[in-house]
Amino acid sequence: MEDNDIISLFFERSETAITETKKKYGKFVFGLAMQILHSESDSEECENDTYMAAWSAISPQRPYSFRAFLLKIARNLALKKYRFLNAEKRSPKAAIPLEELGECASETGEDIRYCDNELSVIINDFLGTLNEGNRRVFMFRYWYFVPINEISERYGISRSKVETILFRTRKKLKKYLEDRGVL
Amino acid sequence: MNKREIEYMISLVDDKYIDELFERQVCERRKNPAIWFGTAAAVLVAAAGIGGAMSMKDSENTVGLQSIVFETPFTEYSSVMTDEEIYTEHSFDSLNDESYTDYSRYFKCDRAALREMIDFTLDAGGKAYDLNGNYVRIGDYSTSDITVYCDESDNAVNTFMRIVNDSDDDEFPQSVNLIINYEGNYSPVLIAERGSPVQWNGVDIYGFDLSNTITSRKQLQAFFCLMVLLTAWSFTTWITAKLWN
Repeated sequence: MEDNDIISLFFERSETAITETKKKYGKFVFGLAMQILHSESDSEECENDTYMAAWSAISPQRPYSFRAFLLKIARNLALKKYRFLNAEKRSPKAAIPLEELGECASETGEDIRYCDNELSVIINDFLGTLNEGNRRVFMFRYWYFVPINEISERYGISRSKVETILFRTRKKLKKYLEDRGVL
Repeated sequence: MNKREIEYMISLVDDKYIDELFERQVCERRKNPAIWFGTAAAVLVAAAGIGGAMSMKDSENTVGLQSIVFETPFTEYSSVMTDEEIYTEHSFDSLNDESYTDYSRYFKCDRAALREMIDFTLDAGGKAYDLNGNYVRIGDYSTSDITVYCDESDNAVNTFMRIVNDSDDDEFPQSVNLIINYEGNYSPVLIAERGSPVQWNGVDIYGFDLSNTITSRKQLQAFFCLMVLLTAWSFTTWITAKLWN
């Protein structure tokens, strides 16, 4: 079923919308949750929460990409759950790659608040400066949380090459943030 | 900006960059202004080809080796396929921002079998699947591991395939990787010189090229004949000039 048809089902408040969404995007949503939570039961729960959140959140203005809309919800929910589970070591999990981005942060760790629009412009402008290959590697690692081994396998390049690309991109991000005066 | 804000910032990427992760990655023609790089690369490839041809053994079906390593998705291929063969007419290395042209490789292929193989792999769950090495044959090589990548509708977009040499002939490289799209077009992924394998999944991968080396040999022979003729002509001219004076 086409995305527009599924979205129409959401607007009609038809429960088929959930079934069709699961059928078409279930594996992506579950896969993303698994990358963060490393637990089938938690990921299934996250997947179901994603459908419910989409049910509540879908606005009359159709999303630009339904898949990205779902994945963003799933990512936020999975990260929330990850932080909850790790807060008091309720369930120790593997560290997520976002930790690696710490090196791009300000050394003083000062908390300057930026609005969503500003942050969105900054990150999207930065991604626009990368070539497609490097951008995919960066996104797979830090947005989709794919392990380095899998990225290396997917693209048929060595693990060290993936690490080099990520290292250079992080360095580039840091410089970019400094040049924009936000670091 | 602190670490938390950077993490949050990453969550605000445009939908287009998320979608990009699932888009087709191979066999896209891409224009590149670095034509001079391409020309230089073509000259280097030609030189490598001559060097390779000179080192070949004079036997039927000898495999021609190339010395350039290509990787995906940083390299994009534009491929042409007939009923029985495939050749790459242009490739673009976006990692190094270089373009390679006039670089061709030939493989024997049965398009219907390829399509059937992809369907078969999809039925097996679209994951890496061992076909026991006998399902499809390309030259003296048969299929080994196959991974099919699908879009959101479960349509195969492309597949990563490794074919292996099952002839036990040490003259031939042991295996090669290919990227195939669902229309049946495919391109080699890794090409490496014999003796300098590329590591993939902890396995040594030797690239190869099933070029018709008879043609290469004939060209080489013609080249040497021409050189001999030119040398003879120069020598004769020089002797004649000496005697005349």
